[in-house]
Amino acid sequence: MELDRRSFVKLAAMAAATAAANRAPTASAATGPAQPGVSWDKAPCRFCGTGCHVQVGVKGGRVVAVAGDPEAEVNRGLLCVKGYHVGLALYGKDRLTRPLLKQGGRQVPISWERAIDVIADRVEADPKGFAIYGSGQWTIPEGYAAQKFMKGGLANNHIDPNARLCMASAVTGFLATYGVDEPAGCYDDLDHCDVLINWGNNPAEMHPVLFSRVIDRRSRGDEVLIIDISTRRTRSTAHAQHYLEFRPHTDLAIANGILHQLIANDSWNREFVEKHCAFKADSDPPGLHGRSISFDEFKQAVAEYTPERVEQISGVPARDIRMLGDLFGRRDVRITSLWCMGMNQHTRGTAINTLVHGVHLLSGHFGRPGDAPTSLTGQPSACGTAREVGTLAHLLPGGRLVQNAEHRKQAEEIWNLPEGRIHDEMGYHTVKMFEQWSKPAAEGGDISTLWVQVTNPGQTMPNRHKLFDPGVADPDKFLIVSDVYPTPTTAGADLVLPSAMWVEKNGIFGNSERRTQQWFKMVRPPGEARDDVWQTIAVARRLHERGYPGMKDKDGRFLFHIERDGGGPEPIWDWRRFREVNVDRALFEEYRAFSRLKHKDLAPYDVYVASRGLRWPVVEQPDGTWRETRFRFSGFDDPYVAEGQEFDFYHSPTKDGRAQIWFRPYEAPPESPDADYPLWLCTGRVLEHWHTASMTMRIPPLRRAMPNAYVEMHRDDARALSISDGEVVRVETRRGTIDLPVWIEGRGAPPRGTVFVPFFDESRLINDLTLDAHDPFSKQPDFKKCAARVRRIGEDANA
Amino acid sequence: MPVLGLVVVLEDARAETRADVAARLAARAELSGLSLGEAAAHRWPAVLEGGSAREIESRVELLRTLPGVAGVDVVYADFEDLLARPPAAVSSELHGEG
Ligand code: SF4
Repeated sequence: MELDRRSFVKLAAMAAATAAANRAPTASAATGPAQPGVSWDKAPCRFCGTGCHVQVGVKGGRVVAVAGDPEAEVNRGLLCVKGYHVGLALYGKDRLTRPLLKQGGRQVPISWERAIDVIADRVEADPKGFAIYGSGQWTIPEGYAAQKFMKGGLANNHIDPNARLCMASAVTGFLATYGVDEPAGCYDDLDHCDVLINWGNNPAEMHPVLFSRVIDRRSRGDEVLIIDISTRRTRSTAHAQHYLEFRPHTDLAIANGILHQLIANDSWNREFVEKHCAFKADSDPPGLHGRSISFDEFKQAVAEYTPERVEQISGVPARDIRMLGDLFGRRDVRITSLWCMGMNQHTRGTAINTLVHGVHLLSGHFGRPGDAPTSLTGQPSACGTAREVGTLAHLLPGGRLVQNAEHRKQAEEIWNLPEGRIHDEMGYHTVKMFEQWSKPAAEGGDISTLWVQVTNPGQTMPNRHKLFDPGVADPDKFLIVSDVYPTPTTAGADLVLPSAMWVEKNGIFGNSERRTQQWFKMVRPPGEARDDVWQTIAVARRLHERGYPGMKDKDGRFLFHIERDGGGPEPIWDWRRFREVNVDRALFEEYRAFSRLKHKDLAPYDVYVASRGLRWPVVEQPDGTWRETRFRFSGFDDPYVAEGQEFDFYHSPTKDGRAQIWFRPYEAPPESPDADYPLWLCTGRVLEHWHTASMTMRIPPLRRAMPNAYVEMHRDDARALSISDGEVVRVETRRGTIDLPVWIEGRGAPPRGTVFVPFFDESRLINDLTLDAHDPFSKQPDFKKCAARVRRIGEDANA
Repeated sequence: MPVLGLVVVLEDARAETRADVAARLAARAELSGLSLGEAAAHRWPAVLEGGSAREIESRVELLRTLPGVAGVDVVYADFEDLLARPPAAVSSELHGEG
């Protein structure tokens, strides 16, 4: 009997579910579920940094189905609520499909030719005042092209990604501890740990597929102790045996308390520490690498963080600090720490990152499967593009620094540029970039044109009234935005460029566990939308045609020269030709040369085509195969650890193979509740929406599930203000005001004295209220805490 | 209307848990569109279909909160029907409140 389409779909759905339930790839794994007329190919999910692989089903030029990829180690066929809706993110009715130029106060359609000319004009008018603000959603080739255009072409380092807002403190934490960025461990740790500690993060909602890996182990009968250290109860708390609620900002005291307990109980791992670690403390003046101290100085420094003292500071009972100290003191358990924005969006972000690494190092819970301090990223390629490509204002690809003459020379050689082309001063980090753009030129605001790609700072910039709105209002400033949907950022733009997204273009992402993942374009972008990497190359070419010297290499060839088969330059600036050539392959192969400079080796492009991603360093074997690395610095797995050594921190900041255990004191936050603003305001994400929801709000089930922002409030705080559940109230800080409905005992449950507001809702911009104070090393702002008040609408604030 | 392929993760792999969950499923009329496959220990493959998008969503949520169920992972989603409709209808489904 011939099966109708629906029956086929149901059979395909059951086959995919059965494969995922059995955790066994089936015959359909490589080709996708059998469905008439549907062709399948692999891609990483467009959303979070977990980096799940999906199989994308295409029919009639449209994505019509999505399945978890059972061959992918990351997710083994599973997807979260966002992942299985990812295909619908392409089909919102208001996709941007034509370039738009603001004329007479209105954005009117123009041609691509004109748009590229407008950008080239702006660059030529003020090349030093031109800046690019990019993204952890840039594909690796997109970020690499933007980086090369700015630093190699314009000799201008004013390029920074939005990853500055989400994981810059993790970067500085890794650098200060190991001398090299990114986690040593990987997701395999979640399969081996006995204890999982969530430091101020909520993986049940933010990295759900990773969290379900641990929950699945429990269902299989494994004992996994989950400890939730947080300022508010979340969905993750419901799965935890221990919930340790701390006063905002006092996580440093908790980490110091554990360090103190390990020493007081003499349960620190003397052998590991004596062989592989050294001690550090802050220097004067402060510097990322501080000053070396002795173990005795370290011991003395943490001595004041007794459990009782930590309880006073943090509110976490002394017995729980002892419990943590005892756990870390045990050799018979394996402990994984996970963190994300809670520790990173922190004015002491670098400090708390180094302290948590220090807890793992002092206790020796490091480098065996299940023993790992691991930061997670929120964006799909924050690691791959922001950190590895080095699109931060102080970096060059491959962990090179713009201020280091030897590093600049290496980049100039790989890019075939004349010596001295790359500028030796750091560019502006995100907050500074937006300050300089928002400040009038007459007052020293020296960024005149800002090109925003693949991100939405009009919604995410902290203290928006200071850092975003004035630049939009200033007629001398010019904002270019490449995006796929209208956002609060495109609304303020002078020039809007419609972009291709996800499987409308080729791409490569790098996820939170150092895994590089490739995909091919599968459908055409709508209307005149075009790839971001093409946009960058087209502007570079226009400048080249106008004779701009920076757009040539030292042999006079175009900066983005690709040799065509048979010789001569491939005209990739021509959109029709661009679509026919795999520009990603060419850019990636060039970029690979950088990756070996800091032992982050990448394999050739085609190796990624054939895999579901590989974790760097990926090193060629004698038989010609390519081997990934799961556990860096561990002799049993990392090819760069010398033969016979158990561990080697081969990028040690002290150049002696040692990781650094830091003492960093607790210090008060820059703004705390007071008589006028008596509450803590914390901001964050929700399960259903990805960051500013510009994509997920176009997916009806997700929009319906979480249609608008709210303020979570403790019942007693609400009662004290005579506020009832659902009532719309006014939330205020010293920087701004918004009106929001109250949610009592809702998705999350803040304690008395704290309110929480998610940032996904573009109609209620919570970042009008947040603080732009930032960490001194990472320059990452603190979105997690500032002083606020809530009042009933119509009531005087001073009543 | 999407057809979803699901893995229902049970709290443990005991046959009693499976039987209890099966009984609870049978008792919930809202979950009549759920077809169960062959359980692999604590993981139970299933297909959910029927009704509006909103109904499907609330059924997944109901499943998630059923006693004995530790979680529900969605592994497959087909939305061709939705995209195949005339643009106006798709638009109202994608953007309307319904
Ligand atoms: S966990 Fe992240 S990467 Fe995985 S499906 Fe969900 S949103 Fe996508």
